[in-house]
Amino acid sequence: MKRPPLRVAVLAHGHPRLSAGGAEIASHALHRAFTAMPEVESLFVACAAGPPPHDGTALAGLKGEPRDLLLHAGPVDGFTIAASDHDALEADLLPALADFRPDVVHLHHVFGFGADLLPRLRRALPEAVIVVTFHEYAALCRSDGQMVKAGTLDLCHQPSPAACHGCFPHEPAGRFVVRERFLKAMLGAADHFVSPSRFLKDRHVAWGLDPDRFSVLPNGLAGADPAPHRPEVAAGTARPVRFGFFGQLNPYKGIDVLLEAVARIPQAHWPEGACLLVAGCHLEKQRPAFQARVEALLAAAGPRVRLHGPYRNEDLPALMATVDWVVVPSVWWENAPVVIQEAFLHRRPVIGSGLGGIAEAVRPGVDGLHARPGDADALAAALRHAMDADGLWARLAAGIRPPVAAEAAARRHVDLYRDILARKAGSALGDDTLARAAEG
Amino acid sequence: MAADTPETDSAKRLVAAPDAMRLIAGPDAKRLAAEPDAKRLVAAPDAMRLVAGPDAKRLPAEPDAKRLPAGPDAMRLVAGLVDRRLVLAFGRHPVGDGATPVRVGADGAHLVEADIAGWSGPDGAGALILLPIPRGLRGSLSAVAVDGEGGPVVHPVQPKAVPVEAVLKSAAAAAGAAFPTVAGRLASALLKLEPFPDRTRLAAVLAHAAATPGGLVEAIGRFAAGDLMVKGWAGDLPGEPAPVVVLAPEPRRGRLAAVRFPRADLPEGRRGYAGVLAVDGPVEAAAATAVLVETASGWRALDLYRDRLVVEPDACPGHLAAHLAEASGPPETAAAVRAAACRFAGRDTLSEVALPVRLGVDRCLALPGGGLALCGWLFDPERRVRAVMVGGGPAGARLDDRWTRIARPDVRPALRADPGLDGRSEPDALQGFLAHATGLPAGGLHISVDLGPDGVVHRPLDARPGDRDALHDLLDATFPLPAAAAAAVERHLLPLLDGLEAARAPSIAGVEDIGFQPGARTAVLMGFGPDLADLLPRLAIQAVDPDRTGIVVAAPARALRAAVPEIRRLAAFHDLKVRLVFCDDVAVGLDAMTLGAREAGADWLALVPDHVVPAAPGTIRALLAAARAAGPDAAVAPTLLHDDGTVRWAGPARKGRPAQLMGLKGRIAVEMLSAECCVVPRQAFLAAGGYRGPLTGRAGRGEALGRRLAAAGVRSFWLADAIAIATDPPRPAERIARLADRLLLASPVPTSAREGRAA
Repeated sequence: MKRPPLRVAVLAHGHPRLSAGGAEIASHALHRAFTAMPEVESLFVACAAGPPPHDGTALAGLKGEPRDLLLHAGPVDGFTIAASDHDALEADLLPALADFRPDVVHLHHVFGFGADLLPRLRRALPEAVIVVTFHEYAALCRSDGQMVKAGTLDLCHQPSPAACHGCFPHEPAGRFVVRERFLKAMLGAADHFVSPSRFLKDRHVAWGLDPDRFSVLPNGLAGADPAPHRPEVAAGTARPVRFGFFGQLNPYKGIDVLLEAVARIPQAHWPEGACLLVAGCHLEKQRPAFQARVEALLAAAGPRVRLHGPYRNEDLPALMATVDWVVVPSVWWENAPVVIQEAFLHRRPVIGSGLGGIAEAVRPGVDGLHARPGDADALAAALRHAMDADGLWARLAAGIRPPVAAEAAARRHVDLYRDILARKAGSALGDDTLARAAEG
Repeated sequence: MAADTPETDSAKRLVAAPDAMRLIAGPDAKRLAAEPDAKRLVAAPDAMRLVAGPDAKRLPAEPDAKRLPAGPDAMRLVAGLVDRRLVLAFGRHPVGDGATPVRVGADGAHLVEADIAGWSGPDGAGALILLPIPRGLRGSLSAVAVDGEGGPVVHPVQPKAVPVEAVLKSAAAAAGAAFPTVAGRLASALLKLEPFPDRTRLAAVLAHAAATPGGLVEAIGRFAAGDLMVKGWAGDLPGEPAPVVVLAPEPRRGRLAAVRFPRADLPEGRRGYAGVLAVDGPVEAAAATAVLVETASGWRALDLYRDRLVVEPDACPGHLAAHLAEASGPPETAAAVRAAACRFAGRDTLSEVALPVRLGVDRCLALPGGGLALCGWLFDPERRVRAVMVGGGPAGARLDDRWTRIARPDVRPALRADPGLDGRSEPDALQGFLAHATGLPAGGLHISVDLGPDGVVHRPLDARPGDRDALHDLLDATFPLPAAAAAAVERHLLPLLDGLEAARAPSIAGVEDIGFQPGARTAVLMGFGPDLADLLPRLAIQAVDPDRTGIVVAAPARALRAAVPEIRRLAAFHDLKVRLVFCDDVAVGLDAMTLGAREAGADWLALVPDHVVPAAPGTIRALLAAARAAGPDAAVAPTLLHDDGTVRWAGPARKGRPAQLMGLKGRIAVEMLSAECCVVPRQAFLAAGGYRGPLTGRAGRGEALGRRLAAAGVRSFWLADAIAIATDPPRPAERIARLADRLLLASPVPTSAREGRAA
């Protein structure tokens, strides 16, 4: 007998057409892959900033995306990640979901909607499976979910109310206790959690979430033809001396560390034709001190750095084609950086900070190199090693495993949903369904 | 100048003084008759009979005499009740004279001293008697036995009591010209008895009847301290401080110390006077009508001059000081007047002092309840200062007998350039002080320095309104060293905390229900201070508890009202049943909970203050279930941890250590629990006074309540595997508060005298 389609509502804190963050891209890619699967019906609801465009509803559509909805839910409380305005959830989101009758509600982040949507969802859709995918450490860390110390950007290894109070002295430690208990209570309403990396899962388990309710599922990456390697490098007639940085130009991504590392390599060791391509954006949104530092480093680097600026996703293959290595010098833990998946899709070895999700994704000596995070000298040494070591690039490029495709990732998600549904149905049968059947 | 007064016959004065007579007649008499003693007096006619005169039978000396024998009616005493312990009696026969021991009571067993003013005139002899009613008098006042030469003479008392006014009128008529003397003597005697208002009123009537014109009061004022400044002219006045009665709507007794000085406008025999009149109760200067002074030759009336000057309080000392140079009087009188002339007059006289004495007040806090805390410094190299006081209105307190001296190395260098000190220095740097006083008004405060023969100088105190936190800050800043701080907390802070606690008047301003169902067996009681930042997430945490018990939120009214719309939305979103209790005059969540419990409407309360959060959903449900299982007289507390995982309270576990809870599960009986977060029978919580008390720290208040619950017979249990997390807000003065709490908790009587009373 043909099974009825699995109805999945994917809820994300943003739409990639409005905000091209990694979580937005990953969640929408998942939805896209679902829509291509005949056994799945998918609805994508993304939060959108600003006032609702239509009278009488917080919902809006998006041209060209017939199964996508935008919810203008208002801002969430920055401290607790709780919804600050429940009307849009109650009056628009919940009825829309009720009409869709989802078997699965899959939230990516709880940003946008607010963590307190979870128990409300549980009450409104008691039969549905609720899944939450974490894309960073927002539940653990008030500091943009980055788990770095406010101000210094030192890595935070163990959040605690006292430590968080140290980062935010104007907030008493007691508020962080409430924040933690609130978020744990809200997340407790979910049936299952998904982490794109083991590292992120381990952090959340260490924080107190149930490991038995966790799965590690990589984000899928929409398929594309790999960008060709530079022919002379591929042929071994030229050294692989071109590096690429792709991402936002913010302090967490370590662009300043990378620029400083490039500047520290003596001219004698900087080969002819060597270059760092910086393809990134949002420098203008950073604090003035950081902007000034990056601009000064760019000026110091001179012709060693080629500043490309923002790029569109479809421009990425062409940009990749100009570089031999991708550098991911982040100074925060990261999760499962899309840029590493993209680098591996295009078969570029990665030189990355040896921490967190980067260390998990990049295997040193196999498909990339590790450098001590935040250490410009160590990164400079890694860059020199990459340029100088004979055969290294070819060996690492050959060791790259292609990233999980979006379709495969979607399939794994569907398998997970069905597994949870089956377990849930089993427990329900164990409770009263069997009894009712017996009575019938 | 009015140098004349109307000639007044004393007997006429009595009759012509309706105001004064009203003081003791009519309603007062009725009221007194309602007293138990008066009832006995009225209800026992037989017992009131007395024997008098030559036929009076003597009390049998034998111990088996049971009753005073009755006497002839003609010799009866007519009695009126002045108050429940004093009778005014009148007899038309000789009874005695002066302070006389008499026996009263059914068996004559009570010996008391009566004041008898007798007379003998053309219309016969008589007596007016002040007769104290002894405590424990059984039966009625049936007779009075007066010791005579041949033994006790028994005088029957007329069965029915009459108004004191009637007694006086009868006596005035019978005594005739002798009455003023009789009245004066009794007035003097009355003023020696305990100062009850009815006696003062009677004394006023008698003294008024006895007094002859003696002068005028031309200026009168009331000092801030409540006593009176009087100035005018008089003939003879006692040199030493003398008893007086001030005639006013409510007459007062007192003592007048007045110095005399010559005045050119007065005839021979009259001189000016200026004095201070200490009275036994408040008198409005403008309402006084006469000052009656007892002199060696009888009572003198200083009537209030028609165009008298009513002097403002701050001007009273100056009026006295103006005459000190030319005035004369005995040392005691002169000293009293000089001291009054040196009183605080609203301005700084300390800075004008020519002596090498300097004083500064750095901070001064006026606390609710009349407490005052101040710190400053005193530079007194020649030890001229006899005392340092603080005053305000009628209240005052000495500071230097309780202050703590503190090193202030900055004082000496700062005063080096003071030319008035001429390089004088003190041997050490202990010029600083911290002091406190209680029972002071909020305004009009001043500090006074007694310089002995050089008088008293003052400085107005600019006291800032303060609260407990400000007090902690003051001590914290003054005592950086822990050992000194502990001593200062004990000496200064603890006495002030009692006043602070007594001054609080928390009340419920209103209740609002959001789907709340009164009458449920259980309710979660959450309390908040004015910061409601965490209210919504805390409510949301309750939403995931499968038990979904009704929630009572108690918080300061102003803040809570502002949050009502958000709470309504959240309650609707999560389907919560909430009762809001709007509280006035509460500062922290525990205080709000103490109030909110009254309106919680449940048998059991789960107490969740704003600094405690259950570690996991279901914690509250587990506590409630454990309490219900334990019985109606049980309270159950969870393991309470700090946010760093160390023990805040966990039964007998040591505080501050890492939690070692291995193997401990279920309900464990303990001697007492910390009620900081627990499930408790609501009535027990209320009966124990909730969290009220002088303790500052939340942990201390929880422990103190736990003690009170245990003392009240509530059985205490610890549910080891139920965990809640508690935090304390960081506060700069936490050190001082902790010291105070430690001392209070170490007090042997923390459960009753100092802490908590039924809300």
